[in-house]
Amino acid sequence: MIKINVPLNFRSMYIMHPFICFLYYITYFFIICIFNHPIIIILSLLFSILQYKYFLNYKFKFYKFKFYLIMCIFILFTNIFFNRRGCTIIFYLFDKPITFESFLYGIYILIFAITTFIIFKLLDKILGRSKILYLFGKYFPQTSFLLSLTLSFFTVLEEKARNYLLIQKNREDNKKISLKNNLDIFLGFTILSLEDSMISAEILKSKDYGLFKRSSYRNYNFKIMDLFLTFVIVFIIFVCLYSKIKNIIKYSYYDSYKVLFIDKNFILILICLLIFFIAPFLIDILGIIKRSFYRWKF
Amino acid sequence: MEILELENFSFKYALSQSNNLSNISMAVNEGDIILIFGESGCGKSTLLKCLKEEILPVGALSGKRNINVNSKDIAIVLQNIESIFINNKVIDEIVFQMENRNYSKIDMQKSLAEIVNFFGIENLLDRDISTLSGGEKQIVSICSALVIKPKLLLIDEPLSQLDPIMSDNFIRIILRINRELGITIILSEHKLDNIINLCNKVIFLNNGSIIYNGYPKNILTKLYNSNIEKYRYFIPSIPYISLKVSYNKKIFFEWVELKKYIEDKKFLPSERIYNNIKDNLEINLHNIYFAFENSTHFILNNLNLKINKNEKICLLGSNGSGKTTLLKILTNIEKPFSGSVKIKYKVGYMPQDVKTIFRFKTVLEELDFSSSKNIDMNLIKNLDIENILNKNPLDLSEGEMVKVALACMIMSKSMILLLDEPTKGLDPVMKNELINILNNLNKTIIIVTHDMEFAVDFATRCIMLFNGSIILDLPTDKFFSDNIYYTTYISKCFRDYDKSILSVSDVILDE
Repeated sequence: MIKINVPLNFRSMYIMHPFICFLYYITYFFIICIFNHPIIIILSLLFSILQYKYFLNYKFKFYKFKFYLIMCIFILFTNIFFNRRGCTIIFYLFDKPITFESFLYGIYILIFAITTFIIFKLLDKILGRSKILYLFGKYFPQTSFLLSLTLSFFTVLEEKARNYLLIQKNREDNKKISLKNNLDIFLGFTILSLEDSMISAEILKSKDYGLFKRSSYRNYNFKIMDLFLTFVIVFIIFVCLYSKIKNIIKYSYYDSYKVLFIDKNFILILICLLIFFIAPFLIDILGIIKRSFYRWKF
Repeated sequence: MEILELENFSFKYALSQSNNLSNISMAVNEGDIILIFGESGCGKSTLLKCLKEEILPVGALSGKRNINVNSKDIAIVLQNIESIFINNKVIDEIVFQMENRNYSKIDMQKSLAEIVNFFGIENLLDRDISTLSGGEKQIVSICSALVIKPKLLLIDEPLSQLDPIMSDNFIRIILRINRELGITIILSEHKLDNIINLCNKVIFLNNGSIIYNGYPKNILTKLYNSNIEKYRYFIPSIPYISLKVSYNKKIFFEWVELKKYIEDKKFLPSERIYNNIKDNLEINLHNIYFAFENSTHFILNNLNLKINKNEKICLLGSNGSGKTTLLKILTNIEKPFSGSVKIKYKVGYMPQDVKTIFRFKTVLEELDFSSSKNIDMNLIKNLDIENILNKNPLDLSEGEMVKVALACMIMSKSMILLLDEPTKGLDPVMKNELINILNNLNKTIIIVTHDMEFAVDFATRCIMLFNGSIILDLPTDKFFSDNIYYTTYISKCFRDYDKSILSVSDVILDE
């Protein structure tokens, strides 16, 4: 596998202008919202995982994913058992038809949920609260604080929930936790998260947040790489809107699943999307090439 | 110049049935350092919050409350250092309040440079706050408050999570802030040992009312002579001994002064007996290595530890030495990078952030769950939590939360208890009660603490961690009599006289 050797804090999205970074991940989310085509949604997931690994230096460990695995199975089976749409019946369960289409749609929803989670986690980790407040705090102090809380919800949820769950498990006498206890833990965690948000709000008040017009200590300038990514973002938004209006990429899971049809237009849009997905890596690779060239020249 | 005056000031939280602060009368002059102390939940934090307009708690106020300083010139550092940071990076946190006040970039740079040089924290600026030790976090929180050049600084329990060396450094910083920058300071604290002699005035609170208010020496004498015996526990060890042994009730604050005074006196040697059972191994850690993700160094480095049944152990060491991580590994919350962990019985764990223990709406439900509906009413009485049984645990003060969490732990069926900083937020009376309760328990107990006095009176064995390894593992008496820094003030004072004297209870005059 190709290894891009750039220190974590100097990787493209960290040094990009916060607005462009914000715009990039919002566009990413926009893409998975408007395209439900299986190939596009799978590619979105794959590249979001790659970005997750690259920008957050993440090492995948199975025990960390147990919680998500349970959630995934829950989402998948909820759709299969409660959605009766689709005409390819696989079998009957308690006289209710289980359809192949609902299974496919369940997988689509699952991938969509995971990709959304990863995108927002990337956005939260890369931007951090300070950059979000820099972007919006000046004119919308309350809204930007709420936005930063919402974004960090994904990160906080993962880290705090794991810690809280393990501490609560430790309080149980039996290894198997009953459904009622699980519900109590969930409610306890929700109240604790709200309590933490209230503490944050109190601290913000004590630090005069929102009382005056805000200035910023850090200055973020537009660089060539910001212009490059802006161009890619604007281009992809046009491509997405064009393909949606012209109905170039269409796929429906119901009433019966369709065979994937790949034509010239689809391939062209796919290439555009690929450029969008790999743009952050491309910026770092171009940086390495540029530095190597200067080293070679001088 | 008087910058603050309260006269018959009372405060009642919106849902509270009685006053949380009653008839508070106090005056603060420019340049004062004022210390507020008292029982857990007596209203110290509420009183501090009532002095800053922006975070005034929701409730009913009455009486005179004259604050002659603009609210913009009052900075506050709240309790619970783990959750008071808004930003991820140290530099962002320090400049945050200046940004909120629309300072120009040049002003921000100037103030930042000044404060960073004053505290010598250049090396911390670009670090993630999550990677800082407790002491470093405390200094960053003070920096972020001072950067706006306040006239009045309010600090809520700043020493509760600091190791002894960090505490000493922090107290020196407080003194510098007051003397060199002329900032008036009001702080609340339970650990009074080093700080009380620096204050102009001290205020002793009980049940939301001021019991004593005045100069430190006068207040300590009043506490000593009070008819209420528990008040004596609030006197720090060195002044207490000086009041105890001097015929004219002279008070010394420094152990060096007391040492000179007791040179011609005779004391009985202390006899501490530890019944260590050597052949009933309950916990065995072998070659434990642990590192956090993306970290370049090991938090625990080739750690080996054997603990027998019913041992009472204190884990000591500086902030960031790996004590909490060791407890988390014993609880299976963290998994070691390599090495083996063998534990015979179920482990009960009380984390540093006690809020994470709770899941129910009332204290009673929490206790009911932990004790499997077999609540020990005696324990509730001893921990003084009878009056809060119907309250939501998250609405309690820090000290009360710790007491409830301790009750849950003690009532549980776990045969091994791991308690992370159980004395945090506890007043000296409760600390003493806790020592009695824990010593009478037929369980193996491992406690992480920075409180040397507590460790001396509770533990049979003390373990010191340094750089992820155990560097000292000795019976308590030997541990404290050998150490120079990590020991009690009483031991520092009496070591040349008799090495066995380690705590206040050991000091008995031979008359």
